[in-house]
Amino acid sequence: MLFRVDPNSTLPLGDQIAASVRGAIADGDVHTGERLPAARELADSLGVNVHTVLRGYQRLREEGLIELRRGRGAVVTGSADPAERARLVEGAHRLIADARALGLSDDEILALVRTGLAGD
Amino acid sequence: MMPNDATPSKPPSGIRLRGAALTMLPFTVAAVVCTVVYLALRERLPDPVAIHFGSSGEADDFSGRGTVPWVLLAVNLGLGVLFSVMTYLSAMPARAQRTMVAAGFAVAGLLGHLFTAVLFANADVADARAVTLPMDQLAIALGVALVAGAAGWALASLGTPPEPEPAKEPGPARRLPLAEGETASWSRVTASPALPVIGAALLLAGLVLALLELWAAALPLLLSAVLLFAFSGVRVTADRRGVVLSLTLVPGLRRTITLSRIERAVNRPVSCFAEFGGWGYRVRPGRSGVVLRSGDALALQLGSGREFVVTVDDAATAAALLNTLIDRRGRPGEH
Repeated sequence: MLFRVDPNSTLPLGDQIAASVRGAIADGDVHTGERLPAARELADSLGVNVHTVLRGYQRLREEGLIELRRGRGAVVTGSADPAERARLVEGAHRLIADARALGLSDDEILALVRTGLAGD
Repeated sequence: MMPNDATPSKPPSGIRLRGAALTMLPFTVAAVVCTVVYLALRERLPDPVAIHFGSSGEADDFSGRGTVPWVLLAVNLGLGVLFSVMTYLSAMPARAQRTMVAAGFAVAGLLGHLFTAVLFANADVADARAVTLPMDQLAIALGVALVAGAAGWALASLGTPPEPEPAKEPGPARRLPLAEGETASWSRVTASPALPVIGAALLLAGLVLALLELWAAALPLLLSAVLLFAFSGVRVTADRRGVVLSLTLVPGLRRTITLSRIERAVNRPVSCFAEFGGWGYRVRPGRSGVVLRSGDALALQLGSGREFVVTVDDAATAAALLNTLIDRRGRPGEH
């Protein structure tokens, strides 16, 4: 799988790393049960701080796309279809980006989603 | 180091559990079969029971009848736990698990057959010293192991994603579009389908020799099996440093081909035996490399004129990235 980081982009480097993994999962470049490179290795490989990589991996863990296990590293989870889930997460990010561009606050975005959930 | 995160509330990955369960299954079956056979034959068994036989087929070691079912249970379930823990910890993708599962089925088949053959040999014999077990039981047990291994392989193949299409011809020296200042890292694990099979075969052979108490011969085979399993997975990384190869099970062991040594990278199909004479780390006149299977490979043309090859999927992307980074290296002002 391919990790791409552009220091000139407005998106934080950790988020760019997470986006690379989400893209790879969505494309099927990496499957359930496969291990991602160790954080220190990836940091060395890209020439970024190891904490940057860890932030990216933590984000993916919070999104339920990977598991972090002591001694084993980061492993792509089998929960739901990871490719579909990755696409879902990307969709959520787009919603948030669009809503913020329109000037919505976090509370207003949450209200938007709750209204949608209540309506179905 | 990765953060200490036990995530106790999250269930383990389904694929890893599936692999562990599939490897535990044959040993559980062997344990059940041995126990059932023992219970059925118990009244007809002598006490003590003959449990070991020399090459002539005559009994030369004995055990109290009451302890026999517990020992059989311990060996079967103990080996099952060992195999399933190894499968779980290795976190292999579903396709690569097939070899471990097949090995588990083969070992369980071998031992299950031998154990039940010993029990039947003891049945209706008044004195355990008169019990015999002919050597052809060993041959039959190996046959059972082969059939069981094949069954395990077939079972583990159900529902696994198909092999990716191998490259048909060498690709051109492509480039990966990278923005000014942007950098990238390509990483993949390449696993050998063959080395674990050989490892499993050596493990079986080592176990058979150990059962015959030929420890001097058994030990090197068992050690070789461990080595082969250790070398069966390699992580390949292509980045600004060049190409880094490291063992998945022993990450400290690695080999780096620095970017400055590489002139050009392409992907091309490789034939292990025709070009390199086998699997593993191979050296030939003019070329060397880590060749774990035939098929798509990353081929590095080095400044020295030699070629270094690594068999790995999606080598085209790795090659494109390397060529872009090599171009950058050549430009003034770039590192």
